Amino acid sequence: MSKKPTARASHGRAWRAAEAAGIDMSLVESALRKTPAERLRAHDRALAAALALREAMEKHRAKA
Amino acid sequence: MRKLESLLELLIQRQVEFVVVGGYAAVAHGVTLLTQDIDICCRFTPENLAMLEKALADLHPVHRMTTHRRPFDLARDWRPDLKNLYLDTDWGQLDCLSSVLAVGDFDAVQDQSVELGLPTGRCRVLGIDALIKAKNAMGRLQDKVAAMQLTSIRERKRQEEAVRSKPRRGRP
Repeated sequence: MSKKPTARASHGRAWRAAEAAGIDMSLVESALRKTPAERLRAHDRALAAALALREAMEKHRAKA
Repeated sequence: MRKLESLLELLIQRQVEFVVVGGYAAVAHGVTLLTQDIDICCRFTPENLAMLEKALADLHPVHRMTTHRRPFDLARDWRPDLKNLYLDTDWGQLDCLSSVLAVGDFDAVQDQSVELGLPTGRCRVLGIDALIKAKNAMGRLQDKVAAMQLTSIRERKRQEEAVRSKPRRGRP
């Protein structure tokens, strides 16, 4: 996966430290453009997709 | 099937007295990590836990940490020294805590919470300063990552507030 730097002159110390630690801050940027209710909904959708993927993988492994 | 948002809305509708804490609160603040449960801090009184039990009644709540996933039954489970409930329901896991590490008991948690508007009602979520304290106190890797994101988000919000409060030239 490629690194997606979001650093800009106005980013503060904590933001730059998080990015330097390897956290994809472009995802945080994207989350901050949403309302809290939209963030919770997006989280639930992502969780449902991740769990569906895990279930599919478990079925695949059981067949193999 | 996990329906964490619906679970939260159910607690709001059924007037359980609670504050959202933990990973789901972090998501509301803008953290990007996935969490599989909702952590709430609630008042551990028989009255409030009875509201909780009633709210969850149709979702087959069980104690997920017990060997046989014993059903949640307040009449049997209630003790004055009851501190936490780790439940699993048809809509997902719900951890009910009487206090939060580095923040305090329900009153302290409530004092340091903010009100959040959801389509189905309003609920309280632990404020960002207290959540950073709690996440740092937990010390697990995932909590450290969440604390770093939260600290960055708080910094960004403060920068935005500073820009907004700066008087503009040429305007009264």
